Amino acid sequence: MAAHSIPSDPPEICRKLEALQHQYELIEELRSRMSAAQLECARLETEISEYRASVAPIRKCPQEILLMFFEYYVHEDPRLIRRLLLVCKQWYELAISSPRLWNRILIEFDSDWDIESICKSIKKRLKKCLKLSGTVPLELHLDFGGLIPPQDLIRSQIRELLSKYTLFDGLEELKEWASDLNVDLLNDPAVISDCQPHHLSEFLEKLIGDDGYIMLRWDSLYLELPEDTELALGILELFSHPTPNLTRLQISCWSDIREEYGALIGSIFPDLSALEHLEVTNAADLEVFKFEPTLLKSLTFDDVKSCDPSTFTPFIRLQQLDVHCRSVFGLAEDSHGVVHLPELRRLSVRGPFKDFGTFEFRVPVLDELHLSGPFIYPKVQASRIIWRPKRPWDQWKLDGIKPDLRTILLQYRSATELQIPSRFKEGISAMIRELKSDDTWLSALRFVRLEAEDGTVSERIEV
Amino acid sequence: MPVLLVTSDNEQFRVEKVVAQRSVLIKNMLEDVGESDQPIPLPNVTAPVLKKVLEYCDHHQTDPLPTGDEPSADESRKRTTDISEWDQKFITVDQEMLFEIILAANYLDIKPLLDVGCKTVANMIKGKSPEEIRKLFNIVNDFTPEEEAQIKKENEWAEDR
Repeated sequence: MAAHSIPSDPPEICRKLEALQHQYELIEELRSRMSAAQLECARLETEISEYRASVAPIRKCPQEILLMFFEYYVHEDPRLIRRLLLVCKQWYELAISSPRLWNRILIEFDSDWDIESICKSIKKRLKKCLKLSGTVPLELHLDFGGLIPPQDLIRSQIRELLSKYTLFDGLEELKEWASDLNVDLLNDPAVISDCQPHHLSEFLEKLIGDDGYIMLRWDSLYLELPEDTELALGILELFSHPTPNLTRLQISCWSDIREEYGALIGSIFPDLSALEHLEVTNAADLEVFKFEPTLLKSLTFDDVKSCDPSTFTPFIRLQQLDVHCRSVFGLAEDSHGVVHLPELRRLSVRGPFKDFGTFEFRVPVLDELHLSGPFIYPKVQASRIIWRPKRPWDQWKLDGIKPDLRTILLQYRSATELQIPSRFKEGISAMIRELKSDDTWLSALRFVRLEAEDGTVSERIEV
Repeated sequence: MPVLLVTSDNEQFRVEKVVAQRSVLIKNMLEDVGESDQPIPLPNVTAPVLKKVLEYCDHHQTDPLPTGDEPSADESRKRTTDISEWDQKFITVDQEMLFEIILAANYLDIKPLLDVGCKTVANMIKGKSPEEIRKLFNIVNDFTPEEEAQIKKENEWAEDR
């Protein structure tokens, strides 16, 4: 801005205009100094942040340690890797050149999602994971448990649509009506077809590869099948190629695998020659899979209903056996079979499967015995006993668990360590004091480890 | 028999052998030299850091030692980020000390301590955006806006809710 005089201006105005002009020039100069100062501030800020970055403690970490941070970070969900990629160039380069950050593939579904677009997205992710994982064995976690059968989906959609036109008072009746709705009457294949997730096979084929060549890279597979048996069958049928490098297989199913999918025996997973760890629902499911029992190191029954001790005879190298029983089963007194597992190191018995309290175990002294009782005490000896009653722990009163703890202390005399929930600290201390005063109590127990609710050991008591 | 350890800043620490042997490096050195009262130099560790490391070793002196015969796939499966209550309190230190402990655990070959340190860093990153991670560790964003947009586009996985 400039202040100009005109010829008719009196001298007084001319003087003031000159002063005004001077002020404008001053403002201009200050503006220019301000912008120079701002530039200098920005330069200094950059220098400070670059200097800080150059001396930041994390800079001292070599790449292999940075990679360990990344591996722990993506452990729960490998998809989190994309956040690390955007931090800086060094992290990006390290992440994309580390196959172990890409070989774990987690896929889970929820029926609320738009299956078609989700499948497209999964395909995109799979392409990247398969490329960047190089030749590292693949660890797959495929959870289809959230996919509900088409009839249920139709029922929920009808309910959702009608609820928009129903007053609040009528909602309960509407829900009941929708639950009783016989959707089998909806026999229009086009309607049912829309609810069938056809797109699943597209990305599963990517994981399988042409003629199953990617299945050769599978190292571990967790597979939770959907409730819809037709869909589950369709998924299982795809796994008809050899998996000679699969060392770990965990299959979770809503129904009895052998009964429901027995027709697939021999055609799915035709080669499990490297299998070392197997988790199935029930002992009978073992017949479905073709594997070498003498190679098996760990075996888990997730919901055992019956079990003949001879089932274990072929597993001569089994080191770990986990038996989970969700409801009271077993023959108890009548069951006196012999379980012969010469290399067993760890036994876990969760839930009330009575037979495990009566079987005769021919096993060495175990490293660990996990019990969740109540009142099932396998006849073994172990160096370490981990006793963890079913949660929620706050419902367990000391009087209720006293007989269990007492039996454990009396029966497992070779144990040097006992791990129990921390809330029973006082109870166990009193019980040990009482037993120690009895000269007939012989025990190798040295420590009691107290476990916090999150499963970590919070305290150790010397006995 | 106690063992004498000498740090990079020339401070001496006399510790019980069972505590010192939580470090595979020291354990191997002791096995190599046999019964000897010679001090063991630790040129990569300063006194304040060794003091912290020895506090950890002392607390965990009766823990079973890692066998080292676990296959790598099994090891990766065990990578939960849970840390015990005592370890959490122990590792609540400033960033400078945290990374020094991690480096010392790596040098001294104390795997459980290295794991605790790495889990702590992983937990610090959890739930943070790339910008928040940069701020946390003083990392400069050296991507151009175009590069950043490209990486975002390539890794846009819609099923991540």
